[in-house]
Amino acid sequence: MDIETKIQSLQEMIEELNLDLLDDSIVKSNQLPFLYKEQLYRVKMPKQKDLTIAKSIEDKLKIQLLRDSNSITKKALIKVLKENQGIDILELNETKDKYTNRLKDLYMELATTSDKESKRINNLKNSINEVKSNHMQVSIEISDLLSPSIEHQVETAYIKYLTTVCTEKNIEDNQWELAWKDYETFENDDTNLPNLANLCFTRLFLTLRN
Amino acid sequence: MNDETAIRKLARSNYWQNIYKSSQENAGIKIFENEANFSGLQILFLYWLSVYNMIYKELLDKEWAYLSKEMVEDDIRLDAFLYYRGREISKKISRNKLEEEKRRIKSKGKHTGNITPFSVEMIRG
Repeated sequence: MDIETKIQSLQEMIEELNLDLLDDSIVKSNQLPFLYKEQLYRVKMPKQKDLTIAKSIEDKLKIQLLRDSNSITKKALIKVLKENQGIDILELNETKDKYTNRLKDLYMELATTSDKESKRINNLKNSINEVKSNHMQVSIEISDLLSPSIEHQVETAYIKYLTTVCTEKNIEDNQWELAWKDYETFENDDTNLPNLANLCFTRLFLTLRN
Repeated sequence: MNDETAIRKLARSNYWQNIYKSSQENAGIKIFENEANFSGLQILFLYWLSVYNMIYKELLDKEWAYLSKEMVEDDIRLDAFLYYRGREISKKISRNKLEEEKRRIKSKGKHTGNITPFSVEMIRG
């Protein structure tokens, strides 16, 4: 799947989730409801205990992968990509930096326009959107290239575990039960529900980890 | 509309700005249903509530020549303005620091002799 198709499918999933984003329920509580095949689900924030278990799962997996000769660290993968396929991640990062600098220049121009200059404002806004989109494409490309790395795999396992323990299915009015009884059931679920729940949980959790 | 766009729209609304201001003055007024374990979306919302609160104050005080109501309601224009504002404030801070150092050197110079740009750089380290 190429980058553009990936972005499109991600956008489609996000649109599917946007029941009514102007509804302030997305911020009023620390839970996020979503529908899947007309069934109501919700993701909630993890408890301290969940975070501790997720961290230990992440650490165990990291040690296991570091011992496995078929696994590769991010640093080594960057080297392999450059030597074997001529793909330079550092160069791609420089391209990203160039887009960031271009964006800053455009921001400086746009910030000093008055409301009357509508044509100039629109042109600058179009250029900003274009630069942002190019920046996002390069970011996705880098993330895609580095996805086989150990670091990426352990991060994915961390989020997947938290998604498993934080996704609940509505039974009755105010009764909820876990959507999957354990991590293995989540992993074996071949519907689109795990992906949707994962996306919802990532939206709710956002950058809290960093 | 993505999450951040929706969150910003809510954060700049009169309703939420009033709740935010009231919660600052009266600890009894709660913004969220939960009192702890805030989600990333809630933290992002709090950030934008405080940004719009500051921007509305500066708009009212006419602190910036280009800041307008239209700009506040346009996410891209406001992002640009916030970047520009940050740069201007940094420049002002640097200018003030330099002035302060110049004054310090001048008062020292009264006892030690002439001031040159070299001596300014030396003291700035």
